[in-house]
Amino acid sequence: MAAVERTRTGRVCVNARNSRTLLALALQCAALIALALSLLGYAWLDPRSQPSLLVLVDRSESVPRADSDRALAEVVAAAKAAGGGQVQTLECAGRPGATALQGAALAISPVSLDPTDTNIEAALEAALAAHAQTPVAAVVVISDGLETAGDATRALRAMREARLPPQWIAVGRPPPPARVAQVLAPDRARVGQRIRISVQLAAQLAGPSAAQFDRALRVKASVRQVDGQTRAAVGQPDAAGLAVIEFDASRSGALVVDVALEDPASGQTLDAMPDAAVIDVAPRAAMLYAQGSAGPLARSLQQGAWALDVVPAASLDSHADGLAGYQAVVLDDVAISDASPRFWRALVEAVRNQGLGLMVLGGERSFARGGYRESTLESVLPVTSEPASLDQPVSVVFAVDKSGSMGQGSAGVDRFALAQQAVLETARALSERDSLGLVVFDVAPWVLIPLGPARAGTIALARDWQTRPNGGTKLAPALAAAITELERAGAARRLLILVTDGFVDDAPLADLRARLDRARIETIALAVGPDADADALQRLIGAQAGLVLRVDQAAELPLAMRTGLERRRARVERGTIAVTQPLTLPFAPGMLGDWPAIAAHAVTRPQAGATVAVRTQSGEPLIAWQAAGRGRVVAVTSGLSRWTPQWLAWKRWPVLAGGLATWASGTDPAVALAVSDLPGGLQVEADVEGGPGRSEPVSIAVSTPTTRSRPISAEEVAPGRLRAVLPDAGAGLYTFVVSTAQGTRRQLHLRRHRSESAAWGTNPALEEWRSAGLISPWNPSLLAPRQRGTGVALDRSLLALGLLLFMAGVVVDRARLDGADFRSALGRWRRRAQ
Amino acid sequence: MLSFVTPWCLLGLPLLPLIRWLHRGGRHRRAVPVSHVGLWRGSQASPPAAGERRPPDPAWRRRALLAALLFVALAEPQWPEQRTRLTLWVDDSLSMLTREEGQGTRLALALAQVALQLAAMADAEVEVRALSDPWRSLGALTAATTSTLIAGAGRQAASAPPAALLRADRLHWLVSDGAHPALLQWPGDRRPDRVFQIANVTRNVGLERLSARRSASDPERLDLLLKLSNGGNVAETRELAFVTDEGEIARSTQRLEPGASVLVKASMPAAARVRATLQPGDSLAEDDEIALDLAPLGRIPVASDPKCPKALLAAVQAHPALALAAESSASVKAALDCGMQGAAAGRATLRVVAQRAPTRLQGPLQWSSTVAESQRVRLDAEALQLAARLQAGPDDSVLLAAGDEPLIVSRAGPGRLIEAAIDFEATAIARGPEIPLLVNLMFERLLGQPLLDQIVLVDRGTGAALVVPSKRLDAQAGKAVANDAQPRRDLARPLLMLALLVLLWEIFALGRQWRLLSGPARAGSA
Repeated sequence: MAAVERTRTGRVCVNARNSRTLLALALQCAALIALALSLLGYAWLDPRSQPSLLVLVDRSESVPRADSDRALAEVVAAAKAAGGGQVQTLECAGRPGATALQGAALAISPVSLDPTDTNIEAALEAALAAHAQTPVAAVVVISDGLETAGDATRALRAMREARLPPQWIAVGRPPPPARVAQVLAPDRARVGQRIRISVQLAAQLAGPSAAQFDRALRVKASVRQVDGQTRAAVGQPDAAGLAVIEFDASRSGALVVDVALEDPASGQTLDAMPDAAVIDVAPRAAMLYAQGSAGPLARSLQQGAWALDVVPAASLDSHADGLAGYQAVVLDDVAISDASPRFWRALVEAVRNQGLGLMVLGGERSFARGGYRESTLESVLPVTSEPASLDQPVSVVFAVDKSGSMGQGSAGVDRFALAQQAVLETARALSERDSLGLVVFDVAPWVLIPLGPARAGTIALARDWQTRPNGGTKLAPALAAAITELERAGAARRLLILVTDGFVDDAPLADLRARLDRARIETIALAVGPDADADALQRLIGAQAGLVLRVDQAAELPLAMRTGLERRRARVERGTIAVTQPLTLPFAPGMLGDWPAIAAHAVTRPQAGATVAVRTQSGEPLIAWQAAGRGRVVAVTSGLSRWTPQWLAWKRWPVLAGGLATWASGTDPAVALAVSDLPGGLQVEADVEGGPGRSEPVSIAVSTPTTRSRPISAEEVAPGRLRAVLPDAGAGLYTFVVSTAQGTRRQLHLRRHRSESAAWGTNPALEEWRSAGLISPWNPSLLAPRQRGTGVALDRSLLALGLLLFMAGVVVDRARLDGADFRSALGRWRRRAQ
Repeated sequence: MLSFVTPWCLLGLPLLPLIRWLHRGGRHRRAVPVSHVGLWRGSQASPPAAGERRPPDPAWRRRALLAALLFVALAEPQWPEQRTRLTLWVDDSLSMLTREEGQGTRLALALAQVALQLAAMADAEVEVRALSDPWRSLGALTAATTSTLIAGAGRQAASAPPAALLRADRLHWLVSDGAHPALLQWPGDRRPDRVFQIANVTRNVGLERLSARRSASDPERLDLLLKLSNGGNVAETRELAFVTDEGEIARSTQRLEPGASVLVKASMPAAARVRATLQPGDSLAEDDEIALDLAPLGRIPVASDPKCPKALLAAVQAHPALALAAESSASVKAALDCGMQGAAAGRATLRVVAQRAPTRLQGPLQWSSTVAESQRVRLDAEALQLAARLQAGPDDSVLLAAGDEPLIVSRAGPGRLIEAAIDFEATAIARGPEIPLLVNLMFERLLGQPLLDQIVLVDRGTGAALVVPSKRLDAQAGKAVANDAQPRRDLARPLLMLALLVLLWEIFALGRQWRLLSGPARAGSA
């Protein structure tokens, strides 16, 4: 290159060229620097060079939300200040939630995160999994480090292996000025007892003194029952910080106690201890005795020191939720209609799954007559009821109330119309050998169909009855007319079916009842609607010679009448019936011998698997038993009262009555049950007496806060030691039931999350983790542009800058900035144009 | 094959002719021969086109090369690596120690096969990880690694590799006999790229678990429970023997169907250890014997205080895990203090306080929420009496109270101390189970371990005796599963280094040019 150039004007332009070269040289040097920085791993504007952060935010109860949000904001601000590094957040507590990019709204419900738990290990594993998919530069953890599940140390070692040791922002809850130190409560109580709960408070400062509790504080305790009912009471702590709160144990079952410390001035909750205690409230008595008819067994058991809750059969519904506290239930001549389906379901559930014993005694209102056939109750009984007997002819007179109130109804169908339908359907079920008659009444009776063959009567019933409901109600004349009709019947069984929705008038009931007894008339009274006087009807017809069926909805009338007649015709063997005992009874001495005869028994058939120890000479079951799930069920088809008068005077009666009750109740099995809280679940260990050689089956069932009773499989891990693990067990009340051949044992266990609710500050292990190099403190310089090492991609922005600088240098060096070339080219163009 | 991360950057290459144009030659050159330089002044200049144009500055080639290098580097070229990066996952469960007929263990044979394969793969970067401890890299596959794996086999339960370590830029090989299908259930439906399976032996009976506890009927004896399993596919018969330091204590013959397990119970006098063996041995000798240390079931010496109520001393004496010992005994781990002796430093102490005449309890019994429901003792408040008034400090824990009166208090502080104010001399509870159960509860809290129902066990895990490969693994054996990503080498960095060299050359050339230009300029100005 010539050092001197001659321009068209002949001027030598050396200085300009020299300047251009110098500028180009400077630009190339700048390019060299940019490229060298890129090669050395420095980052500038390349998005890939921006550090990608994954921030784990602990959303458990022990971490104050505001503080963790502040820490997160600090990280995000640091990212922004560093040029907008990518920040992903992962909220976590008992479970990790979903990741979200910076600025994206996280829609994670606290329930899905389970804030009552902290599982740092699960969160760190989620971070590792996310890192495996899309590598991140670093993980920042915002947490107090207090964990209730998992093993954070294990996960931190894994992160170190993955070359991703997290940076930690320790955020903890400051200790409250006063806190609940501990709660003392009885572990069991009986219904009606006063339950005393003592709550000891602790002050923030060391050493108790009156001065520390001079501030007015309020301790609130809530008791929760299994059915969800909650009661609360408050107490005032004394100078030593002890608050006493009392409740009445009104119902049997488990009571879970929650305690909270409040500031009455602001209403703010200073501290809380949920699931502080559980109290097992047991019934006053070990046995619930339901009487459908008066019998001597209850008195005999009480004389034998048995604690009984004797209740009328009609009040069984109120015990549906408290059956678990009893050892056994006795149904003494109880009909299915005495209780609601809910009670029967609860009873069968308690028998099958909670080991409740059940003794069912026969009588006029039980087994087939009580509607047991194909019922929920029959599913656990050792016998099934035989269908109704149709071989004995029956004379039936229907007495139907046609007073004005029977004209009430809905949808165009009144009670009287439904009564007509019920009578017709019931009559159609009668056989050719039966006879029927019809009496309708208001203040006076009318015999519409005199007693006659059932077939002709049914045809007459199907026609219009030529009467409409109106007038008042007088029962006595109607009953007298019906009795007169039935008295004309021959040797057939006599049945009076009465339908009424009114009050029983002031008729001479004693006279009418005497007539019914003399004529051996059995009565089925259907009390329709809420105003029907069922009690008076029951007094009229007595307990033995009939039954009263309450029909709340008139639409149920046809079914109730039909089934009522079927039950009344159910087979009951009567007479002097000899008794034999082919097998031993399930209690000592087993064989009683010389069984007295009985007067009657319900005809039943044994269920498969049931044991019939006592039967009639003809083989009909009298005393049968079986295991139904975890419960023991015994059925005495003859009952232990009116049908067995000789048994009551028998010298073996105490042994029989007490033995049946003892066996049904079961004994406390020789089982020790220990429940341990593991980080990931519950470990249940049952020690069964017997050790090597024990062969009896043992079963363990559990009811959890979210599931009903279910069996859990246990393995024998040591002689006599069964072990089962219930994984993923959340907080709440667990009820374990261990059943052996001896009986059933129930054990409550309250799984708490004390470390969440009663934890303050940060985990001291954080320092150990830091010393071990598993974590490091949060350092915002992590986000600053920095040398990233030689193992990552080159920063494209630096590379492009170097290229641009270089090209600029070339242009500066080569392009003539005086425009001479341009003018020369322009001149050439003009010349060509000319 | 060569690929680019950002191929659009290559669109800059068409700019290279611009560099060529910038370096084009100057005005046309024409040779005018003259006889004297003075004649040049008056010579007739010919038209520009008549001359010969000068060639472009050769510097353009250097500059075009540099620009091209930078454009290509921006496109980030990548070249498939010849060097394979590989993670070798090794199933180190116990069954891998099964000896194949006439050869070595499955683990050794499989690792030898892997070594052969790796030898054929030049420059393979291998890291070995055991499935029982996946987070720890054992480094390359060497003889030392093999020894480490064999020595540690069967000690910890193995599991499938964690997702975070299944990096897509590595090949993942698995060494397993396939006896445990769970090891193939990799997260995210990932599967190993290659499986090395050695599993020809299909017969094994193994001892899976041995446990012991004190006999309920005789605390001086121990009850044993042994679980043995047939992990093969043939019915087997074995002689089972229990042996202590004193000699054989029990022997039985066990026949097991394939896949079946049996529990064998035995009873023995208290001893330091017990061992169970199977005869004849089989290909997996490691599970034909199992040993159990019985020392934790020994009695814990408790220093007694003669001033204590007899019922209390009797309860400690009768406790199967406790034994009364003299105060001076060096082996004493806990102390019972009824006023004669103070709490020794560092020793767990149960202090029974009796300061006043016994009185009936005022109020119902209340348990602390820190005492688990299953640990609580059924007590009759009517039968208990109070012999002292305990004061609970702010950090103390009241374990049992009656009304406002603490009955059992766990004292806070460096020493482990429990104080009880119950009158243990009350006749109402002297003969019942309450005192022994309370003593057990208090010493369990003091010593921090279960005492009454303690068990010791060695458990190799369910399925530890399995040696028969599963069908699933058979189907995958030797089948390479293609990995999603192929390891690639980044070529941008060497290109950039080359570009830097060229740029240095360019800077040198420009510097020389500037120096040359600086001379005439200085001369001109002078």
